[in-house]
Amino acid sequence: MPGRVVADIGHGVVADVFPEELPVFAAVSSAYFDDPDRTLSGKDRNGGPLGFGLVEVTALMTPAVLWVVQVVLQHYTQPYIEKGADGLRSRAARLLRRRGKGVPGPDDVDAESLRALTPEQRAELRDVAVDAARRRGLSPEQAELIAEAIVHRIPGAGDEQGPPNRP
Amino acid sequence: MAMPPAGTTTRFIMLITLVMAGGLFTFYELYFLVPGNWDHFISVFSRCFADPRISVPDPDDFERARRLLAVCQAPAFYDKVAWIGWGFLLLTAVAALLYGMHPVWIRRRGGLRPYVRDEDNAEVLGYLDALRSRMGLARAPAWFVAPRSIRTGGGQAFGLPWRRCVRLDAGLIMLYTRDRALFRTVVLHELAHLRNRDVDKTYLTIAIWWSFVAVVAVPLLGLVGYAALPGPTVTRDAMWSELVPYMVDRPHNVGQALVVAVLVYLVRNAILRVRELHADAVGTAYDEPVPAADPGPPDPGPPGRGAAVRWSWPRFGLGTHPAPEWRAAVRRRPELLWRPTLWELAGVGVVAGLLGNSLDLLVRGLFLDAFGKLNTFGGEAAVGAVLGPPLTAFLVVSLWRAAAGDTGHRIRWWHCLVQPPVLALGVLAGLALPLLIHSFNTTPYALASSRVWWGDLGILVTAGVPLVLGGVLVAWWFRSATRGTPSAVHARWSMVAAATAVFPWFLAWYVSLAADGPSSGANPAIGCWLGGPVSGDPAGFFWTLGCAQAFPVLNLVELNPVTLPGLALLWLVPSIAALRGRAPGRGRASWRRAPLVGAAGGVIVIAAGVALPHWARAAVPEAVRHDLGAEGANFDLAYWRAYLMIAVLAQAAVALVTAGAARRDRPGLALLAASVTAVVATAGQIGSYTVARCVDLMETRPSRCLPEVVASRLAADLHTVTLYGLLAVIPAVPIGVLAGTLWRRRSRPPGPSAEGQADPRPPVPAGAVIGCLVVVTVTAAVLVIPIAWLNWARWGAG
Repeated sequence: MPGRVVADIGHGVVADVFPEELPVFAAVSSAYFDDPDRTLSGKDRNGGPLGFGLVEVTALMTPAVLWVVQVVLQHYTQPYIEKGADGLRSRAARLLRRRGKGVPGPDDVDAESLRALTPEQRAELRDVAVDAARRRGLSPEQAELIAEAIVHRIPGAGDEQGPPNRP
Repeated sequence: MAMPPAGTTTRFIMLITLVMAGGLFTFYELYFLVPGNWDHFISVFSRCFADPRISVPDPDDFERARRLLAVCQAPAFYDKVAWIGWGFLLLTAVAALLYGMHPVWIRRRGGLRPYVRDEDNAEVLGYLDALRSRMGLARAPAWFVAPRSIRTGGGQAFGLPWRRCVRLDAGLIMLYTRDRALFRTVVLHELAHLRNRDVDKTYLTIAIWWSFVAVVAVPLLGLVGYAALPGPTVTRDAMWSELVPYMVDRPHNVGQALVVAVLVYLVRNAILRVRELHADAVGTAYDEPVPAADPGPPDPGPPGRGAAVRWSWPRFGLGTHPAPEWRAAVRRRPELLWRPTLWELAGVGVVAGLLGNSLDLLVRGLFLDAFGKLNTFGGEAAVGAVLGPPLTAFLVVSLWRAAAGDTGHRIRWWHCLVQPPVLALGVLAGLALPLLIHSFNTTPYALASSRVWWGDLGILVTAGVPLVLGGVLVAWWFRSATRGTPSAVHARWSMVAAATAVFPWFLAWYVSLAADGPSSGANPAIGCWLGGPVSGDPAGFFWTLGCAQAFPVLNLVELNPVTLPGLALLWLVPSIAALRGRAPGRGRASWRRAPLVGAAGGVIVIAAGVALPHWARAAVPEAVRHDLGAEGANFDLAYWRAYLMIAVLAQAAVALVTAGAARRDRPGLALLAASVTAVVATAGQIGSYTVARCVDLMETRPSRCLPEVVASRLAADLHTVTLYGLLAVIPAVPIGVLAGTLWRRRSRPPGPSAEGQADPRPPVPAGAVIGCLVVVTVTAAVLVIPIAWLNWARWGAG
């Protein structure tokens, strides 16, 4: 199932950081995987006939969270694919499932295979997450919270800290 | 207070009418821009004029040639009618298709996902269902999420009758936690759309608009461009390119179609705006109360009289949604919803005028091409008959809405003075539109007719006076008949009464627009004073009633079987309301007194009618009295006009006294009293003519001193007496009201109204008198039908 891992991790992050968005997570994540750019832009036309009219609200974070999760997982898988690094190659080979002749991506990551990440790798992923969140225009606090939640949601590390709390 | 029809109904009818008017006009005119139609038309007429009986008619029997031509050319007209029919069928089919497809379109455009239950949204869905239940919707809509609408918290109702749907922005669902009140407001607003049955009207409106663009506007532009191509490209007929400018007024068509398209668009948006306001009002009614500490946005509508009818362009805007401050005001004061806007009144008038123009085209073609009749007013009469009642009904509904939107729920006097002129101006503007567009037109067709259009415009301007006056009278009567606070039943019956009463008058007015000379609506005042004394009448007593000659169109009112029943309804509706009402002070005494006053007036007419032969015998020389066959007016006619004048004056006097004595229901009471006078006076003419025969007033030899009674003649005379009596009653009533008010102020201090006291026992049961009058009215209306038919045949003969 495409994006299943991203969706799973994203669902957990949203539950931790933006729980008010959970009731709409399924629909938004589904739209995100269909057309990420359009969903992220949030520029869909509305206010048609019998619409309530323009009610502007603080934008939903769910698409941004999914995007950050995707970037983090891409960062994790990319070195194995491009560099063919020793040591992790055999592990990556186990972790990644190839589909046909395509290049494996974050959607192909098996959550079970993430258990054995080292603390250094997790710290690196956390930095990647913060950077990605900042690039999406999120505030530093939000970026930190999302990064913490992502790292926490990756099994095998950070369990002792528990999920992050929103300020 | 029972609520009147919402503004949506008016606007929706306006939209349909506008599309019909624009479509009819465009399809009719575009017929010749299609080469195949042109070829058919030319072939029909070529065949017709190949017949020598038509092309070289017998000088002694032109009528035969005319009939033959009518039969021969009728297929060309019916082909045109079929073309228009196909055009409307296509227009309807496209609109239906667009309406049927709107759910698919909305779902695809917004990327909507069904909002299905899972562990994350079970609570939200439960809350949505609770709101649905609170709104009283038996069937739950299908909920959809707009997942890409992450920055907005809106919603949208849509769907077909068997599956209503509500779209919820993703941002709105987030508000369930962050701002429950706003979430609830938006959802209730959308559910209110379902409760108000807005979905079908709204999406049909949108569909009609796009169908109009696709089937009327775009083909028009395309065909106009196509017709501009070199002749051989378009048709084999070499004459086509030269003749088509005379057959199709292309710049005029484009100009009118553009105006209609703009109007359709504005009406479309007006419908959408008013539905939003209604949904706001209903949604608020089912919402939890707003805390008193929240003052909300400022109220845009001052509660006083000035706000009852609005020119509210800046506030309402022209878009699909009303201005926020106006929405806020309607949430707090839903009665503001009912107030009609003057733009709406003017718009309805313009639409009626445009429809009149379009129907004129069709019926003129019908009479000319299919019936072979020239210079007939039959077409105008038919169009006037179609337009008058709906316009009157709209005016009544508009006044009813003004009362519903008024803080005191009353029809104010300024409503009666402002609304009719605005509606009339709209009608005149709609009728004048083709003339105005002609002024910018340089085609041979327009240049050929440019000499007359200023004159046409002048007729419209002067004809506006009787139109405005008639509208004000209808408004005043409605205000009086409903005592200013219309109930639903009362208002509906009043609407029927007013529409029926106006029917013959508007018909005559519409015909007068097309008529030249003294019959034109442009010459009302002059005509009344053109009458002179009967030739040879030295005393000058037997003046003709000049108006009869100056207003031939009044003949359409005088000999019309609807005239008397319409007038009767004007007193019947308020009288029933007063006599059946159980509340004290409903003025029953006045309704019992009015027939007696009317009967007294009739008795005076009879007395005068009996004395008249003796006086005439003494005053007028025998040669004049016996001049029965001279040219012009003879004495018999003069005698009848003298009697008629006495009856008219008596009706005016009766109306004046009745209106002056009453404190409410004055128009209805005056009409009832005058109607009784008219009936008695009409019967009394039998006695007057019998006496005239007894004294040999007109006959040259002794005649029998016996009454002559011809029922149909009496029925026609009752119509005449009532019609001319009404022309005098109309000014007499306000004079009586004024005089009565002044007299009461000076003669006694204000005390309890006589109508508020216990009603005295009536000497005659009012119901019986009114019942008899109704029977007489209906009988006269039925008896006059054969005469009216002959009259109509004369008007329609051409």
